[in-house]
Amino acid sequence: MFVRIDLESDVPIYTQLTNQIMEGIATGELQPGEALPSVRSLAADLGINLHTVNKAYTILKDSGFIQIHRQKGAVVQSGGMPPADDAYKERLAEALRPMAAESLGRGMSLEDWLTICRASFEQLKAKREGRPI
Amino acid sequence: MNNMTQWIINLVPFLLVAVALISTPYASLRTPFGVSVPADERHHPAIRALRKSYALMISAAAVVAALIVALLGSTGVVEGTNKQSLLGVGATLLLMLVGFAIFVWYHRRMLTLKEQEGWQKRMNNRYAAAQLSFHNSPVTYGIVWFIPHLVVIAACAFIAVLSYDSLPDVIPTHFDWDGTVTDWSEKTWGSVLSLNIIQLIMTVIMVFVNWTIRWSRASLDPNKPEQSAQAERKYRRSTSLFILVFSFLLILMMGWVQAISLYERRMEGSMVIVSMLPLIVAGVWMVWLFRMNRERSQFDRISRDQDRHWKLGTLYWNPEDPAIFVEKRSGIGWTINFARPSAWLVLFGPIILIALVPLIDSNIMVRKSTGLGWRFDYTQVGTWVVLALIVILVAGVLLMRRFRGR
Repeated sequence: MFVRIDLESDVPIYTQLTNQIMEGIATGELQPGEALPSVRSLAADLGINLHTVNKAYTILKDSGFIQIHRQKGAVVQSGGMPPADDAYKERLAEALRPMAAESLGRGMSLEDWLTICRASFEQLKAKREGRPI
Repeated sequence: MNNMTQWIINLVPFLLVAVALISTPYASLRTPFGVSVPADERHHPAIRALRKSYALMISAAAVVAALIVALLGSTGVVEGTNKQSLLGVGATLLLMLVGFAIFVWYHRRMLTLKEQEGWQKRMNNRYAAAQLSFHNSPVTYGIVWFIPHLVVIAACAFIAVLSYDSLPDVIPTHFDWDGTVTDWSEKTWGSVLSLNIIQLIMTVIMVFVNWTIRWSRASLDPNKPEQSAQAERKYRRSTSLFILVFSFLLILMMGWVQAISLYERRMEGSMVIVSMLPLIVAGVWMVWLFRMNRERSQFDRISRDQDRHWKLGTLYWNPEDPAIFVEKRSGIGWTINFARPSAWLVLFGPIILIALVPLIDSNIMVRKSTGLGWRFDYTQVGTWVVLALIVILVAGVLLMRRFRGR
């Protein structure tokens, strides 16, 4: 899997990295148990700071998407992905709220908002199932 | 001394250096004279003109150096074969020095050109790309491919150990270009096996170089990640193959030198082939790598004010960069980030090791008092060098393992 980082974006680099790796895992481009590069090697390849990669890996580990072994380094979670439980749904709602607020503020309709949500979701799902989008 | 032989011995390294110097800006199209330029400006007429005039300057310098040497040689100012071969080495070194000075001058000119054309703003300063699995899939030939090297070394050492008792008390250890013995040493385990130790250290260094090729920075073209990753792999794999073949040839060569000096005790005539074969193989391979490198240069990569980290266009010094091994900006191959202490260790460790080998030249093994087998003599410095070598080897292997993990 390839990652592409925009160094001048408003989105922090560690977030870009986290998002892309998470997307890779969700779509199956990164298989369970697959090894991720070491912090040093990924940082060197992208020419970014070690701590930035470390931060991305820590976030991914905390959200249960990757495991960090002492010997093997970082690997994609192989013991089943974390479930979409109530705690997660609560976090999701919290994260969506400011986005909904901004859309509402801009006068967007609920239908338009849901269309956009559905589109991203279905795009990823199609990729995961290997269907054309 | 055959005059022809003398000429070949002096000329081949000289020509190789000249060709390497001239081809440097042609091998690294992405970074002519160690300066990064935008992807669509790599064939700009001004850059072409710089390359051409640089090649002319180097050629002129080479011709002048060769003329001076020929003059000194033919007028008889320098006499004696050994002094004449020194003259050849001197010419090669002089050419390297002058070549580097010319390179630095053109590096400056290239920086000025870049500034005038305002290319910095048009470069890819924004997007970086990487392949997560790049270093995990087998990019280079694995360590098992070095087993033939070890088998040859073991065979050489084994034969030497078996014939130890039948060897004379003094053995030749130094030959001149003519193949005549110029120095003898007393027979000890150290002097008999010193070439095997050097073979072993060489193999370790080559394994290490091979390993650094696998782990050095793989910066991809953000717009063509797949193709650039593939080209990168191909390039690294063939470099790795070169290292494998080249080091095997060197090991065979040293084994042959050992066999001749121990069992034949003369070397007439064979010296030229022995010393030239690896050089010629290296030359042929360079041409091949050169072509592959040109193919690779169509890809773009991030270059966020990297120019200022390349001192004189050649030495990479960037304390902010976590990378230890990076690709060279001028010419073919990889270099190290001198701002990292571990890089210095990598550079000077092997040199110190090789320099320590002559210390092993003392009697480090003594027969056990029972008469069966040998043991180390701990009163000798060489013994400790051998032990240090073993410790460093083990530590190196552990370090490599750590590098892979977190």
